[in-house]
Amino acid sequence: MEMRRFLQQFALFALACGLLYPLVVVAFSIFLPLPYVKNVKHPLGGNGHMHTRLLELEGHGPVDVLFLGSSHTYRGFDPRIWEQRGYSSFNLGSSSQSPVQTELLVKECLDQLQPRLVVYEVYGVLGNLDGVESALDLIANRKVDLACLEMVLRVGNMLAFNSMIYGTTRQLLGVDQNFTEVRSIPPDRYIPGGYVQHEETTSDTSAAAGTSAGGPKAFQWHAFQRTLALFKERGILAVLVEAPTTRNFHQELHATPSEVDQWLRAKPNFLDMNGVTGLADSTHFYDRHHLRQQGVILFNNALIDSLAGRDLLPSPHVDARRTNLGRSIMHRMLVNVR
Amino acid sequence: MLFNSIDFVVFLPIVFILYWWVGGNDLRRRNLILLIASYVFYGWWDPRFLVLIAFSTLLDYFVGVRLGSTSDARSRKHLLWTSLAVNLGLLGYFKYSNFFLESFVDAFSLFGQPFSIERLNIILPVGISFYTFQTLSYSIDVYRNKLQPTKDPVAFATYVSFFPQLVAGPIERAEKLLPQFASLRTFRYDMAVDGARQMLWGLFKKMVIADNCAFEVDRIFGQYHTLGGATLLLGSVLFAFQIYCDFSGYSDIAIGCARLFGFQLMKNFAFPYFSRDIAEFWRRWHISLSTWFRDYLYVPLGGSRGGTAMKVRNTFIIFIVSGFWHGANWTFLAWGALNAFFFLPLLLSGRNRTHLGTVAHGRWLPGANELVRMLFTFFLTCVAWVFFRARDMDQALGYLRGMFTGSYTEISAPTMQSLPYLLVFFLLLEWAGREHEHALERTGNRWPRLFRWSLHIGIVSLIGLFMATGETPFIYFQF
Repeated sequence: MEMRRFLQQFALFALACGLLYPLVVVAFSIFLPLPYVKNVKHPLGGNGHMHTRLLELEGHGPVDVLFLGSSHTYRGFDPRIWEQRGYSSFNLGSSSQSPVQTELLVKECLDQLQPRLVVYEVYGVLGNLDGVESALDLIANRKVDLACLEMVLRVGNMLAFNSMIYGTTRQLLGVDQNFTEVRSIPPDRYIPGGYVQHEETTSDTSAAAGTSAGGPKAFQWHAFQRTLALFKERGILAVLVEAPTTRNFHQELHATPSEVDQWLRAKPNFLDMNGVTGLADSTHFYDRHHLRQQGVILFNNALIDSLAGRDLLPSPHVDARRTNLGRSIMHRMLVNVR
Repeated sequence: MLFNSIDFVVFLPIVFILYWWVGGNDLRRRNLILLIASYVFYGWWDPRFLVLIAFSTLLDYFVGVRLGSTSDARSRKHLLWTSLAVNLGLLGYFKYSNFFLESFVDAFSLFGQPFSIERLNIILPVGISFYTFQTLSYSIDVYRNKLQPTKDPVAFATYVSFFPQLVAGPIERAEKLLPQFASLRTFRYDMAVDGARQMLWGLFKKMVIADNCAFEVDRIFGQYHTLGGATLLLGSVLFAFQIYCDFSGYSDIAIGCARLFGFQLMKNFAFPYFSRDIAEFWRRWHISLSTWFRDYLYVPLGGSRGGTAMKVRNTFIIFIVSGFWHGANWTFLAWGALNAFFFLPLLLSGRNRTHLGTVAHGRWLPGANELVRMLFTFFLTCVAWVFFRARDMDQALGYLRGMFTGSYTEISAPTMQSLPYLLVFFLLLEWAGREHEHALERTGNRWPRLFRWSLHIGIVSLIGLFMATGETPFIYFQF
């Protein structure tokens, strides 16, 4: 009898918590300045221009090449260069994008973009990311829906969960409807096609690398495998690319090769672009992770050549609708760099 | 398995259901379920060390049985020494080998004979200090004829490995806990509800206060040589909150969890920061360990019965051994010795038992004198905590030098802006509940359900809104 009463009361209390908790989260987030509420964040138009990128994606047509991955992607793959070489493309990279977010984005845009080639930058897989930063990025800058809930549950982090409650409320109230992200916040400038060009002249390559030895968390690895399976199922060629980083960073990252590392290196469609492009740490990088524009140009051309050499590139799709974006800007930029 | 993990959230209801339903009214079956659950709980971390705990259990069980069957004084002494030597030997090997090796090397270096020895690659089994002391108390009590040896190996094994208190206490005495495994527990609604409340408060202390203080403490201790005195003082105050909330939070969860299964564990903390002198602090801090040392070390050494020299010696021994129990580092010894220095004046002047009751008993607020005494005692503990937290003696002394001589004109505020408000909330509830078993035992109990539940849902919400989002182990797991 007492046990029954206990279970009834406990169930009732759990139900009350479940119903009232979202209200408390919203009340705290509205009535207190957000920095005071530790586990709620709403980086609307935060790092990486995801808001603008997703807005652009809404009206975008099919592309030849789709880029996926972390900041190495949206700061490393320049659609203007690919266009110059005859390929239309869209860069769907985002800050600290981990496989669970990649899976969500891919499921959402594959029918629309119909890429013939996917370039999947794999730092997010090697880097043992928890997926929280990128989850917050998507919650704030994309619609909150069931796919988003699924992603948050996979990430399993209270910060992401609370932020989703808050993001849903803002969405329902239409608070962010009129938000417009500034496309150029020096030294970053958003380039149509999803790329962010970094125009800083100084460099700081001192940040620590971390290690790939831990490998990805199980939920990330499963998401990664599901995404690759989806490409296979759709007949889309996917290449896994490790983007260039500074020499020390790369050495530190791979000091103890992880199982994932070994798995990737055994794949015929894996390309490690470190050390193959003639990039110099001091000239071509502005920090240990990211390339300056001169470096991006070298890297992208080297990658295209490398893919062509391995017969991994689809034939150039010379389609005026796909390839006229920014050709003249590209031409000027290449001339300046040289 | 950590109490503050998803694994435990799944584990606890499963064990609860198995225990009360599958266990039925069969005492042995219930004990067996708890034993298996406890081994799963411990093995979740590293199953290899189950062998160690099983070995200690078997040894002390058979020592107990043999002690019960012989009255020959010499044999009994041999049996006791076997238990002490093996248990303390294992503890010493896993916990202190490297410390003694390094100290040995340092000592030789002092005499101009420098040489090096490779550190042993030893993993410290979680909770070994706790369950070793628990099994030892059984052997000693049986030897002293204070306790009849048990003939039920399952009950004894469950007593040694009982999962709520296995890895960080409270260190239970056999005479109190073992009989509870020998009688059929009945489910009591009030006990279970209060246990759940105590668990809730423990989780709040650990996940909100301790883990968030830890972030600030790590920052301040990590760059202590660049920070002013005020910031360093803040760092030691925050560490005082961190260590208290981490450890007493664990104890609250352990005690609350045990109550869900009908067990009553001993109180481990009694609001120690509301103490008016160091003696009172030590009656309220880590009670299960303090009383263990009192009964099995201090009293056998003569306690405070002899002359001044004996009192001083015994006080230093008990505090230093207590420090050494925490870890193989000179900082823990210094922490123990410093507390002995703080305690001795009270002992020698006969004022060590002045404050036996709760501060401001029956009143809302303390008097000015009580407040000053509490603040001064808290300050002394903060000074001592610097040794406890420091990586080594150099850091501890450098930190204290900075704290007492550094600038007090500016302070590096906590990066988490809401932390001061959370600390005030925590202190208010602790103060309101200081005369009870735990902070939430009475607070709100007479309120209408709406208000009572609002308080509890509020605490759940604060955990969700302010908890540290990564899994953070309890500090005392390393001991």
